[in-house]
Amino acid sequence: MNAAMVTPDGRRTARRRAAFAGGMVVFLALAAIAGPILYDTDPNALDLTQAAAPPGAGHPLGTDESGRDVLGRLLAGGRVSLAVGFAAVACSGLLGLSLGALAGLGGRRVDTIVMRFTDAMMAIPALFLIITTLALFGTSVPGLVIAIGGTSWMGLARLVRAELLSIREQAYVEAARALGARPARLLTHHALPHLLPNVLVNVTFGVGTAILMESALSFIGLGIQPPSASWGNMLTNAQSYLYSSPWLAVYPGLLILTTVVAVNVLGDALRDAAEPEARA
Amino acid sequence: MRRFRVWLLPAIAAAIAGSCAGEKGGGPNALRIPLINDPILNPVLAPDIGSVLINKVIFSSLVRPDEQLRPVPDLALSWSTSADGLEYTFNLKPGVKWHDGEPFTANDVKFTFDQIIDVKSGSRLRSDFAAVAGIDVIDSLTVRFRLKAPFAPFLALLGYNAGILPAHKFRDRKLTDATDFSRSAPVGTGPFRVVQAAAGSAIVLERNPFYHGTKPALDQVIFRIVPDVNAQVAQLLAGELDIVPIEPANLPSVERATAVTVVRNPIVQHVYVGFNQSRPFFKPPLVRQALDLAINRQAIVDGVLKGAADLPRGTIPMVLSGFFDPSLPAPGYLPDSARAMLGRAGWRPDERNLLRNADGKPFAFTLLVDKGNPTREQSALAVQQDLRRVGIDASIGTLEFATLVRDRVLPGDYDAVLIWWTTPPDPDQYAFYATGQDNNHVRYSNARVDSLLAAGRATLDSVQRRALYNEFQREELADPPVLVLFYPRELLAVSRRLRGLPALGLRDALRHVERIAVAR
Amino acid sequence: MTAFLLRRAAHALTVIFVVCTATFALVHLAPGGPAVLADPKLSLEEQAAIEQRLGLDRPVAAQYALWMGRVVRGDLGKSFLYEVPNRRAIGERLPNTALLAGTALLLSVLLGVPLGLWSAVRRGGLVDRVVSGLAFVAMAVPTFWLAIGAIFTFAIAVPIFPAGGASSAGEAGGFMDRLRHLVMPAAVLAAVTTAELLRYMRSSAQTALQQPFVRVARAKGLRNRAVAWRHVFRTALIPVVTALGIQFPRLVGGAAITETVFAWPGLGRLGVQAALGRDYPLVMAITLFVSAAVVIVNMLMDLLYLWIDPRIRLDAS
Repeated sequence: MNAAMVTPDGRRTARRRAAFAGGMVVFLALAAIAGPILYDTDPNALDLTQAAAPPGAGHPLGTDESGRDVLGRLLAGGRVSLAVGFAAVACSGLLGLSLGALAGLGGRRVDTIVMRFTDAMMAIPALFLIITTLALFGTSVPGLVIAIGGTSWMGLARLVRAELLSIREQAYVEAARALGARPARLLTHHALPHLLPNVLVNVTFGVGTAILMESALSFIGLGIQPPSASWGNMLTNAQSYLYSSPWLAVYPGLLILTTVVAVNVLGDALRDAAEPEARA
Repeated sequence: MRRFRVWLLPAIAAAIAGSCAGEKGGGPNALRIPLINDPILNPVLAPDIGSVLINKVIFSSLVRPDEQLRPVPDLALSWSTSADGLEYTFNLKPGVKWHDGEPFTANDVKFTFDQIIDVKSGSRLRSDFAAVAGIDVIDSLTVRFRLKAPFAPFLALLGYNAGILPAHKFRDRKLTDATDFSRSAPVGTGPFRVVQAAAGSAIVLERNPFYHGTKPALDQVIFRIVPDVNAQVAQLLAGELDIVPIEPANLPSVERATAVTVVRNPIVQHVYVGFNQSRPFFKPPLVRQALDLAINRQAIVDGVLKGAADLPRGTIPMVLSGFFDPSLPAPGYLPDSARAMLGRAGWRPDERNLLRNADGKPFAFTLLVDKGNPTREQSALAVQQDLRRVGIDASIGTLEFATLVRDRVLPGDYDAVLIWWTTPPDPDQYAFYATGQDNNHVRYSNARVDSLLAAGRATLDSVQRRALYNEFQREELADPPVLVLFYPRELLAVSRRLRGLPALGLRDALRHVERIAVAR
Repeated sequence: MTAFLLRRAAHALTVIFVVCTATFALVHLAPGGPAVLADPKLSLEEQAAIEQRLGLDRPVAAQYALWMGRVVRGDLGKSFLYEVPNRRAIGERLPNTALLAGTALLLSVLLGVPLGLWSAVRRGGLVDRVVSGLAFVAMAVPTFWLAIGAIFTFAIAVPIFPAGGASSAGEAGGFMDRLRHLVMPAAVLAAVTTAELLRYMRSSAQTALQQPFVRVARAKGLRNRAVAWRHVFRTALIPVVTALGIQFPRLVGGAAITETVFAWPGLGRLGVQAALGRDYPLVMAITLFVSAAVVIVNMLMDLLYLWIDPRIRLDAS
């Protein structure tokens, strides 16, 4: 048996990985949703006398530079960061898939219009576009979702279109068309199974990218604004305390890392589990 | 083949690292200072603090502040004032040469100030010299300023940002069109001249061989463009920078480094919460007096600023020791008195302990603060919590500084704002707190203050002037124009190899750059 | 072929026009204004004088016409923040950006493509596991964090590389000096790009390995490596080339974070500072410049698709 083939065994490990990574993502999401209810503390309450206290009684994970409870802020920040990540990717996934499909299947004129727009959006460096969009919509959660989601669908759209163009010329699609299959059927029955792996890889990686983008925007001062917490702005603030209070950087950094690795592994495993050839 | 390449990379990296480790930029006798952005090398056009800093080293001015912030001769040898205070005559230092070897004359002074007061030149110093009516060249080394009215801050302003430009470099050329000058090839009379300007990277200055003052101890001053303050600190710790202005948040990281020390010099600045007094909430002096007592300033100074600030007594900073009245009490933190005073002003607590007036309207407003500066953001949060304790519901709004100023502060479209004034070393605050002035963003109006501030800027005798400003300070206690939070000290993380750094804020210290040296 | 190129050139011009218009609209729609005007000390008269000098007192439509007219004549205007022609501001930064982006791209292609292919062919093997694990981590670390970590490790704790800048200021510098300054920012920038290319390559190579013609080739008894190189490589490269097309604008304009932490004088940082300071002409000039570069690269990408996959036809409809 060849290592490159997707064996039943390989698919089983892929499922295990998917289950593990998925479990991780679900756990983090649950913690963010239920955490603030179970661990009842005001994440924005200042206590300047308790600034940068190490982990201990009263504050299980210590306090930050303003004496705010770190655990409470991590939970509250998790809500924000995960919400931004998933909502932005839903936004960009929907845009990318539909515009890519439109371009790939809609005929030459539609293709031209959609692709000129896509090209233009893609040609502008994303960070400039996001900064300008944020100036328009404000640095709130919806503003960030619009700015990140609305500026990250182009890769997916191009990918979908390129695959569709490539697939369209392939023999079995020609055959299906010759048999009178409608474009919609072509999309759902022939193109989608082929597209799914790349779309999944792209979309799940998108969640991570969006969470990372929020932290990058925090770094240049345009992420979620204080006093509200996000993992990104917590990590940004922690830079100044690397020597004195390293835990301030460790927690949000590890959470971002874990979350992004988990969603990426999940996407990867899903892709392996959904190999079209193996299913056919 | 592929495998080979992969293993090769770390080997190459190690070779590069090993080949010249330990070298530091700038050679042994250079002072290295960060700027966050490419500066405009023209003191008349410079809009930002970075440009102001580097221009102080390149361009001399007529006078400069000494360590007590009093104006002392620089390009001017001496000066005299007419009895009515309307004319200042300066005798210029003879034999002074520009960086390009041309002689410096009274024409250069006249040219510079003609540009400064011309609204079309792009000048950013015009408001400083609005009192100047005209400049006359008496002879090549004598120049006379005619003023529209007596103006006591005049000398302090001459030594503040008004570096002198060379007239011969701008024949038939507008200041704003002289791109080469303001980007890479400025010509001044200061102790250092530009030898290399790499955009976005660094500006290298070397000792000016023609310098008119004491020979500088340093060979070079290098301004490196490092946009991020944490990256600046990292470069300082790596020995690639010598002076870094830091935030209180950076203190823990630099305090542990053995090669670095921290100086905390007072600067001419007051940080305050401005209440928009065209809003009925904030109109009564009693309310503003009460708010003044509701804030625990000591907690903010200790907790947020890590001690790098002084408790205020009004709007005139303590560092102006010639005018500041230290006998006044520091503001107390008396939330109970504050509540009682608010009660007298008609604000009664409801069942949730929120203050409401007779109409049942809650005492609620938005406190704006510029975003991105943790010190001010945390100060705003502390103010919010203190106000909540006396029953006032302030929500915080953060805006980018440019948007905050242009869209909210200048048009007066705000309730309250946490902001600051950095001023020249002079107590004149007429433009900020006199009725109807351009910079009176809080819409403060008090007839007695108007007359005190008007008299203060027109009185040249320093004893009389001091009395006027002390009177102003006492008036501020009864009717505070703004809620002054603190007088910040500038935190400078400084390499221990530096010697002779004057105990001034960086912008004034750099006027004495020739005194700074590095230990070998 | 000529017709194809002409059509692509027309497309390119359309794209650039859309970019120009969209950018102009976005920067002028947003509330607030240029940072140069945000000085609380400016009097109303001075504000008006500055607005007049910068042309901000005219109606937006007139400003748009003026800007487009200038662009057509090749004039990119003058920066508000720096008082220099934008063409010069961009020109000064371009070599640094080319050096950094070029090095990072080269590193990622040299590492990402072969390692991705290797991982796909020897899937589940030791190399695949280690490399995939590293790629997952590289893609999950916030860039600024990686950069700060690198500085604290290799410039402060074990000082073998400089903490920032593109060269040692005030010294002759020289090739080795520039190289030492390049190592950390290029490595940080390449980390993510390499990881992404690797994942794309691995993923698409796996798909390609499932293709009927590969199976046929294998059935004919070709050795694994020959299969990988001759058949899989070409087929798998399509999504990789697409990914490269996406990486290019990111590397040119989007390296701003890396450039900021390492004080690298590149275009991305210039653009972000211009966007934050609402330097309208500079934002528009950089956007125009970068997008023109991207459009040209995309044209080359399209030609590359043709070369890689002959099944895509010029007149596909």
